[in-house]
Amino acid sequence: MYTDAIDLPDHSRFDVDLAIIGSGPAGITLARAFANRSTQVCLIEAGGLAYDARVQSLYEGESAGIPYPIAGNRMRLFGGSSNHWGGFCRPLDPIDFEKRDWVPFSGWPFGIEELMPYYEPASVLVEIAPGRFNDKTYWEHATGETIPDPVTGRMQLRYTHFSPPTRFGQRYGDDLKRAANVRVLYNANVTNIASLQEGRAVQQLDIRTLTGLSHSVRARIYVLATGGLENARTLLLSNKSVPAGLGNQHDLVGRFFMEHPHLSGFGEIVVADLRRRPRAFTRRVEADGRAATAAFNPSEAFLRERRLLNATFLAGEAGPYYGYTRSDWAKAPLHMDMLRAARPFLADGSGPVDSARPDLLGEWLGLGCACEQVPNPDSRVTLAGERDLLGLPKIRLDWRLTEQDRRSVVEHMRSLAMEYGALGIGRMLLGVEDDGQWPAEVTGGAHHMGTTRMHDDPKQGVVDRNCRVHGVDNLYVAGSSVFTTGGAANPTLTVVALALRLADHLKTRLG
Amino acid sequence: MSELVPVPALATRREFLLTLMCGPLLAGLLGACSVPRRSAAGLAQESGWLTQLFRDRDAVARFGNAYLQAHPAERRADALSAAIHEALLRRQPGALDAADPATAFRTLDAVVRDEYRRGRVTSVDGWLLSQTEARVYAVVALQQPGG
Ligand SMILES: Cc1cc2nc3c(=O)[nH]c(=O)nc-3n(C[C@H](O)[C@H](O)[C@H](O)COP(=O)(O)OP(=O)(O)OC[C@H]3O[C@@H](n4cnc5c(N)ncnc54)[C@H](O)[C@@H]3O)c2cc1C
Repeated sequence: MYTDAIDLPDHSRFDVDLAIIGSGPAGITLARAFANRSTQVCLIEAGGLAYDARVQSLYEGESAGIPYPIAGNRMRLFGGSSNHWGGFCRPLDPIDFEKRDWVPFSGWPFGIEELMPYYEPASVLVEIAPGRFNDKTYWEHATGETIPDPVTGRMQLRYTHFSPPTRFGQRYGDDLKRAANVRVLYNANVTNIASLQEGRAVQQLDIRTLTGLSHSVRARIYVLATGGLENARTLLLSNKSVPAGLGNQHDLVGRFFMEHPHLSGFGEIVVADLRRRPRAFTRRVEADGRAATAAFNPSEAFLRERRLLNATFLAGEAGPYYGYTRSDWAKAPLHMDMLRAARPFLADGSGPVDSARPDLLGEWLGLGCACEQVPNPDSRVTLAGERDLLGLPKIRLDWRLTEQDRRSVVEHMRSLAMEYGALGIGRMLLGVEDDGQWPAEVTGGAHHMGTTRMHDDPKQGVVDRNCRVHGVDNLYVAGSSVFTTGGAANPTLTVVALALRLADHLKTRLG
Repeated sequence: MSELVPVPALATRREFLLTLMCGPLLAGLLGACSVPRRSAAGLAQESGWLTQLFRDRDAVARFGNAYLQAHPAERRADALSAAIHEALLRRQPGALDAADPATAFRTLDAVVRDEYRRGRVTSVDGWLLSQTEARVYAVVALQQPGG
């Protein structure tokens, strides 16, 4: 059932078995896993059923490090950021879970095999199942094209799938509405997780509406699922009985914020004979109702040999070049000269590369990359001095990147250039100087990871392997904030897989 | 930037090879190359065949000159050709025997791809190019008028 917190009498209180804070992909997945069971569930959502600018303003904050659109990169309403996510999906790679001696603070408490049983049902929820992430043969068959294998040993091909993209609120809202044991309480901002015994157990959630009402929810188990930034902020705000914030006895909450640094415009590839590059390299290709594109990722062997971080590269067709000079794009002359110069290496014969377009010289590909960054304790979320409409300190994000992160991505860019050259497909122009500076254009991908990292040791992580906050008996965290390292895959598929895994754990615990 | 010359319709590999060999008809069509007579020793003593590979030599020279600017010690066509030929012969002994640029080009292409594969690359004007490829462009640049 749906309940608008604004319509309730002031100081309403609900007593349930399981309270889930936040209705993004993590919270909805969890609530849905309990639908139509005996467990009484309350899914508490700060936003309403539609976008509201005042509600969204509660997400504003201060960016102290690399400039970051803190409010623009998430959505505060039912369904969370799935209301505007892009739908790119891929599981993490096995190496991402490992303790790598060249990656400080790396090593999840478990390997990918722990998540494997959950990736498939997660793929169903984001509507991409069955996932064909590594299945070149499948995509060759589907597209009718040969997809060449990378040959440098540096790279491998993975297939990023595209969710429709699933808007979790719209897609699964009715399931929750129909479930007699689930209450969706919206327009309900959790402002404090009230705890007992110096933070060893949660007693209740304090809730406020923007209309000035106060409510509360009590439960046996609580799950914080407010997104990768807000999970940390909510714990830090819950500082009445523990001044440093709940779960923050070792000053870890909010630290280790990781993004996937995205660089656009770091390079371009020119291709003369379009038949040499399979469509999957540059486009979404479809088969059996699912869409995917080929991504270049560093091979595990290369990552180990060179002690590098993970990365994902995608290419897209940016535009053709014909046999006349284009004036609308400053790099056109350079691109066209390379197409002319390298032509014997990039196309068979001296005739047109496309008989239907005799003056076609080739095309250029725009490139995007999303890279792993090293977990860094100085890259962090704290509370700002300024307050939001509810009178609570806003979030302050200090996103930082390191030289290790930069060197790694520069090396992978070179690998991509080599791969296209070795396959005889194209030539790559690298726009990033290897000068020790991160290019000013670096942005994030709205992937907020690491701020409540998972580790078996309470001195090294906020949550344990079951996503329970260390030292707090009945509080769990769901979402990408628990990622120990970020890998280079878009996070939501893993967020959903982890939520399904947490649901299994909680089913056992709640009986 | 020069306008692209209309491309003659030479779609097949065979035609390309003929072009490389510069039969009189095709040479006329391309308005381009005059192939030096080849000695019985094949292409090993020549660098002209490298230049013949390219139709738009201004474009090639742009990158060749950029390479030479970064590597002034290599500004000698004979030494560069020798290095290129050596790379070809290492890959395919006899690659230059045939007096046939098409065969030699196949080996050159294989060398270039292999260099990308092994990371034997160099940065030219921001482009990451195979070492031998960059040298080929440099040879062409040196053989251009004023090069
Ligand atoms: C523009 C954009 C594009 C993206 N594209 C991709 C992509 O292609 N692939 C991918 O994998 N990921 C993508 N993402 C990231 C993806 O959206 C997130 O990984 C995903 O939404 C995280 O789910 P979540 O449930 O953990 O958090 P969220 O979706 O952030 O949901 C958190 C929920 O908690 C609620 N909430 C917050 N604070 C409180 C509070 N105090 N009380 C009660 N409720 C609260 C919020 O209103 C929200 O509904 C994208 C994100 C953005 C912004």
